[in-house]
Amino acid sequence: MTVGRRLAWLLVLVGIWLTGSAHIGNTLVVQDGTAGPYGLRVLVRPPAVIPGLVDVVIRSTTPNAIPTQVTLQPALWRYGTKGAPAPESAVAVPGEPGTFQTQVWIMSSGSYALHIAATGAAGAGTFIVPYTSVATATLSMPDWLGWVLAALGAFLVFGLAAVVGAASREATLPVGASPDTPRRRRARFATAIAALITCTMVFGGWTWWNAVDRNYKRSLYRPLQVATTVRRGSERTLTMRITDSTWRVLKPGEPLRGSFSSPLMPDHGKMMHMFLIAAGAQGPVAHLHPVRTDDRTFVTPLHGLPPGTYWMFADVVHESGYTRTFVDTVNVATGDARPNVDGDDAFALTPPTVTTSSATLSDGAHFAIALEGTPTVGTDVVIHAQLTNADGTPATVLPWLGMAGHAMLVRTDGAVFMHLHPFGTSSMAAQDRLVRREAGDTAMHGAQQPMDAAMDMTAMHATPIPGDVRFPVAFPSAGTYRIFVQLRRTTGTIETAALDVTVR
Amino acid sequence: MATSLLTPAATAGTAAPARDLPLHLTAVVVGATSILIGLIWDISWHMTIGRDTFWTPAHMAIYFGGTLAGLSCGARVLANSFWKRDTHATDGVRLWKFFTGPIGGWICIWGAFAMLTSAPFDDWWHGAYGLDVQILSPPHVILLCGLLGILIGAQTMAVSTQNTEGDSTARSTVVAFASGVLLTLAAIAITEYSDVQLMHNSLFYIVAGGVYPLFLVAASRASRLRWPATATAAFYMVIMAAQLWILQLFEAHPKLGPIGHDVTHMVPMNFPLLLIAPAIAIDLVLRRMRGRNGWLTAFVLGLSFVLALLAFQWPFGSFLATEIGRHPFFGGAFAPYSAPAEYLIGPREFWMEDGGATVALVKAMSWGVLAAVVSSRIGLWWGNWLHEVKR
Repeated sequence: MTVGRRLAWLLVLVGIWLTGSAHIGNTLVVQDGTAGPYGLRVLVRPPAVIPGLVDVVIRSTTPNAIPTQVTLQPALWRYGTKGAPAPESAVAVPGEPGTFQTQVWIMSSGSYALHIAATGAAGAGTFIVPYTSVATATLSMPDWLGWVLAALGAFLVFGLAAVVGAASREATLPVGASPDTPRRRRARFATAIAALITCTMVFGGWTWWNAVDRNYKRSLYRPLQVATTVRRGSERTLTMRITDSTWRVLKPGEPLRGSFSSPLMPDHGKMMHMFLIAAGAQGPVAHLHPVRTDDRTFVTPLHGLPPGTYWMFADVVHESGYTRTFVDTVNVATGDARPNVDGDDAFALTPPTVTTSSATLSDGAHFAIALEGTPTVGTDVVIHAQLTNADGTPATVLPWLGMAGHAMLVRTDGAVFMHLHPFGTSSMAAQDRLVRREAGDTAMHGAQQPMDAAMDMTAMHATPIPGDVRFPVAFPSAGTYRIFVQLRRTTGTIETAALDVTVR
Repeated sequence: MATSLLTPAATAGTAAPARDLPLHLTAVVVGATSILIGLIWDISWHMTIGRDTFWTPAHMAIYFGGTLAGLSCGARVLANSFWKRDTHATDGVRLWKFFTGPIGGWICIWGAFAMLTSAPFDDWWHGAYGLDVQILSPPHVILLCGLLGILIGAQTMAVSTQNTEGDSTARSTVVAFASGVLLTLAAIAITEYSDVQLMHNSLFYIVAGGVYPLFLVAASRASRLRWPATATAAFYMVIMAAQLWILQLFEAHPKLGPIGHDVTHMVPMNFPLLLIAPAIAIDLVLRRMRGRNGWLTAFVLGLSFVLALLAFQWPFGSFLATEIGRHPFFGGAFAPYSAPAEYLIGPREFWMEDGGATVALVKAMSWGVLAAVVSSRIGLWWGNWLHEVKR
C-alpha cells in the first residue's frame, strides 16, 4: 500500500454540506443494466479529489450469461468517446465469477459517461453509467508526515546555508591551506545571507501553498445557495429561488463561455424532484414536483403537510447529464389539508411504521421493506420492497413517473441524501442523454432535445406491474439511515413505507 | 586539433597530463545526464500518455541519477572524512567539523536530500489536491531545486577537477557539458515562457534575459575552452534537438482524457532556442573585457545578449510560425494530447501585446536588457568563484 493510499483513509470532509452531487453526502453510484445479453450491476466509488482514481466494480447479475471480458472507458460530456483514452480492461476478481474490478483516472469535474463493454460466449454488448464528477474533500497532513517534512525542510535550509558558508570559506583555497580570519568572517556573512534567502523562499513557498489550498477548497463541490419560502395566499405555495451568483445556465443558442452550466432537462417527466423530510427524518415526508417559473425560480403548491421544520432536497439534471441537488431547511407554519394539484406528488403525513419494517395499509394490505445484504460503507446492497394484498397474495402496482417505485435514503443527521430507483442511483435522463450524445444526437450546449418515447411517462401509467421491487444502493458513510420507499397502488394512491438501517 | 580549443592562457598554464576523469566526477556527470534525460522523458510522457506512476521509466531515470550522484558523493565524503583521512584531510571543504569532501559533492548531497524531501510531499500533494498537471507546484519546486543542486554540483565538481588536475580538452569539455545540462534544466523550467507564440512578445525576452545570461556567463568564466559559452549553448541545442527528433519516433497513445486531438507518438518539447548566437556574443565580450569593471562588463554582456537574441530568435520565430515550422524537423505541429484540435490548425499566431512589435522591442530593449544585466552580473560573480574553485 502506497503512502497515498494510506493517507486516503485520513480523508477529512470539509463541512457537512460540502459533499456529494445529485445526492447530498454521496458520490457513490450503483446502477443495474444490461450490456447486450449480460445483466450487470456497476458500483462506482469516486475519489474525493479531482483529478483522481475512480474505483469501479462490475458484477454480472445473470448467472446464465457471464461475460469473460469487461472494458471501461470514461468519457467527459464535452468530448465523448472520441476524446477519451482507449478502453481499459477490468480485472476478473479471483473467487468471484462474473465480477470485475478496475480503476480509471478522472481528470475533470463534470458529467462523465462510463462506457462499459462486455464480451463473452453469449456475444457482446455495451452499457453507459452516468457519473457526475466533483471534488468533495481534501487531505489533512498527518502529524508524523508534518514532522518528517519539517525536519527534512530544516535540514535543507540549514544544510544549504552551511554549504554556502563552506564554499565561501574553503572552496577556492589551495589544497592544504587554512582559511584566514577575513575568509572566516566572510563565510559567516555568506552563511547568514544564504539562511535569510532560503528562509524567505520557504516563507514564499508556504504562502504559495496556502493560496493553492484556498483555491482548491473554493473549487470543492457545494450545493448552490437557495432561498426557500412558504407563503399562505389563496393556497399555500413553496417557492425555491436559486440565489447563488455562480448559477449561470446557458440559454438556448448562447455560446459556451466561462463556467456556464448546460440547461436543465426533465428527469422522468419532471424538471425537479423535491423532497421535504421532517427534520430528524422521523416525521412526515413529501415528494413534490415544483414548476420552473423563470431560470432560477421553482414553485409548487404545498398542501397537506403538517406544520414543522423540514429538510429540503431538490434534484435537477442538466442537459449534459450533470446532476445536482439543492438543499435548504423549510419552516411550515400552518397546516393545509387540501390535496396538491399535481397528481404525481406524494405525501406521507404520519410517520411511517419502521420497527417491524412492514406496514399494514388501510385496506389490510401489507407493505414490507427489507435490506438484502449487510449494510457496510461502500458495498452494494439491495432494498427490497414488497406489496401484498390483505389475503397474502402478491399485489400489483402502477408505474409512477415511469418507475416501478421510488426510494429515498436520508442519514438521520441530514448529511446524506439519495433519491433512487429500481435501476440504481443515477439519473435515467442523464443516461439517456449520454447515449444520445455518443450517437451525435445532441447539441453540446444546445436547445432541449425532443423527448424519447421511452421517457413519455403518461403512456407508462396504465399498465400494472408486480409490486415486488428492488433498489440497488451503497451507503457512503457510517451512521443511522432512514429509507423511504414509495409505490403507486392500482387505485392510484401512493404509499410510503420506511425502514431504519445502521451502517457500519 | 583538440588542444586548439583551449584558450592560450590555459594551454600555457599547467602542463599536467590528461588523465582519466575521477570516478566520482564520472558518476556525478552520468547521474546529472540521467536526471536530465529522465526529466525530458517525463515531460514528454505527461504530454503524450498522461497517466504516470512512481515506476515509469522516466521517473526511474531521475531516481537513478539522483541516487547515483547522492550516493557517490556521500561515499566520497565518508571516505575522505574517515578512511582516507590522512591523504584527504585538507583537500576538501569541511562541514560540521567531522566531514570533509569536494564542494561539488556537498552540493550534490544537498540536491539528493531535496529530491528525497520532495517525494513524500509530492505524494501527499497528489492525495490532497489531485494529480497535478503543471510543472510548477511547491513539491515540484523542491524537486527542481534538488535537480538543480545535483546539476550545479556536477558542474562545480567538473570545474574543480579542471582547475586542480590540470587543463585538458576533456576536462574543460566536461565542464561545458555539465554547464550545458544545467542550462537545459533552466530552459525547461521556463519553457512556458519560450513558446513560439511568445517570440514577438517582450515577456519572452525579459524572462530569457533574466535566466540564460546567468548560466552562460558563469559557464564562460568557468570552462577553459576557447568558446565556453558557445560550447555550453551548443550542448543545450544538441540535447533539445535530439529529444525533438528522437522522441517523435516512438509510438505512444494517451491514457488519460479528455483528449483534444489524435496523438500517436511521443510528443517532444519545442525546437531549441538559438542560444548559440548570444553565447558567441558572451564569449566575445568576456574575451575583450577581461579585467574590466564587473558592472560595466555585465552591462555590455546583457545588452549583447538581448540584441543577439532579438536578431536571431525574432526572425526564427516568424519562420517557426509558418507551415515549414510545423515540419517534424522543427516540431511546430506537436502539442500535448489535451490541446484541442482546433488549436493545431494552420500557422501559429503570435501573442502580441498592446502596441504590437514596437512596444515589444522597446520593452525587450529596456526591461529585457535590465534583467539580462542583473543576470549577467550574478553570472560573473558565480563564474569568477567557479574559476577559482580548487576543492
